[in-house]
Amino acid sequence: MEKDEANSILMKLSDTTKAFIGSRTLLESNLFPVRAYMAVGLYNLFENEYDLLRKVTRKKNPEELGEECKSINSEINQKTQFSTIVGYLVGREQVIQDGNIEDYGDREHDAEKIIFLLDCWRRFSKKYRNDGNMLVDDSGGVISILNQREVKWFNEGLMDLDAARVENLLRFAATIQSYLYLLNYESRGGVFNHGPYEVDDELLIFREFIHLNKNTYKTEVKNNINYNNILITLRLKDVNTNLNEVGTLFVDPVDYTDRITGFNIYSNDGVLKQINGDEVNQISNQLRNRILDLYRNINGWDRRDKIIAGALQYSDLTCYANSVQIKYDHGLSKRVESEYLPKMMNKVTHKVMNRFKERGELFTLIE
Amino acid sequence: MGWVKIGEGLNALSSSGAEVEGTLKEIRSSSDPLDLCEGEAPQNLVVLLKTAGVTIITPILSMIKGIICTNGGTSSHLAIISREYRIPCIMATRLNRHDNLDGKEVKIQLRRKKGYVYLLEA
Repeated sequence: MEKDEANSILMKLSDTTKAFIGSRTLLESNLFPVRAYMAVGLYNLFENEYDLLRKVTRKKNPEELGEECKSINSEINQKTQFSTIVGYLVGREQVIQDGNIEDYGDREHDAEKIIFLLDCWRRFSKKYRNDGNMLVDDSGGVISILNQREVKWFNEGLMDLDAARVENLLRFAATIQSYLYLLNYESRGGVFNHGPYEVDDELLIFREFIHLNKNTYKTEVKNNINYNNILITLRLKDVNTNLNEVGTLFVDPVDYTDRITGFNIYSNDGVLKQINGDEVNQISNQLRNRILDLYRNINGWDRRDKIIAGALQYSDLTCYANSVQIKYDHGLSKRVESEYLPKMMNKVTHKVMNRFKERGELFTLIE
Repeated sequence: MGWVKIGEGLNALSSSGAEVEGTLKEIRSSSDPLDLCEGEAPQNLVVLLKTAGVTIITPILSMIKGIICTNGGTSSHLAIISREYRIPCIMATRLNRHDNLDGKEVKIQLRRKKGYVYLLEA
């Protein structure tokens, strides 16, 4: 990849990222200092990502990785890829605004790192996405990764449903999702949707929930949930769907209850297994108990704990290390812990966040 | 005694016509949901939130009948989860009452893309 091409991708990513953050308006929470922990996490990503991905790609090239990740409940997916590259770039902007970029090498080195990361992402996407695009925006809100044979198999496994079962299904999905938001400190870690896949004029959507039993900062899973990974398949009629860069699903009409024509629920802990209604109720109870345990635990944390927990979540590259089975000690790097964490302790956000609202490029082009 | 409109915002559920009445509780800190779990929560609990994250109310989601949030938008996590739980929710609500409304009876009314908040006044 040449510098000009890298800069043109950076410009495009600037627009997409601004629109994406602008539409979310989240970035604040009563429970977690989201913008402060994001800043610390993105410094950490900036410091660690390039070296780790260099190691990973020495063992497996981006094309091989992309091909492998075209599967249900993959740890690496569209969301992780987008978040990882954008996270690195926002982290870089924080360092530039702080006036510290030269501490990390000269301009040539900065350019080399960005070209490497963008090239990895592009090569991964070409294999991972059926349309080969890097951005969901370029695919009209579609994330298609499964092949026709797999789509046919899941479509044939769909069950019919009545109004009561729809209600239960949506509540189950909502309970898992709210649990995962809490487990991942208000971020979407563990939640991903892909599709739609067209089947007989209807749309098949895959809703994936992963790492339900993971241990996170200062929490240890006491009561396990029956399964670590869950998949919900949904077939919808007479709707328009749209997915964003991290796989958030938007359906028009928003209330699509009466447009669901089939569904199924699977666990996927190595083997795909259908989950029946009784077990769904059992898992829902387990999730509610875990939410209460986790919430009580987090309620005892101070601001520092919450920033560290969120920063680790935001800079977690374990899935990439796992993909090639290399050792990776996920933690805050020395400078992040000694300089950037204390700096963000009394701040709501990093000043680079103001650039999301301003005109002009979000990401500094390479020279 | 009658209903007086005290605010309006965005309908996060988008089911036009939905309406819910209940007792208001502002969630000010992370201890409030635990108090509600461990004490006696109002039968028809309507919560008022100033931020659009959803984690603060995760332990009490199954008790909540309505949500009023003075921040965020229809793609905030709070809006996404309220849709899936089928809880009538108004986002980016502009309230014209800023006094403590805890314990007061309120009504949420969803009409097309808008949501309206009413207070029962003597």
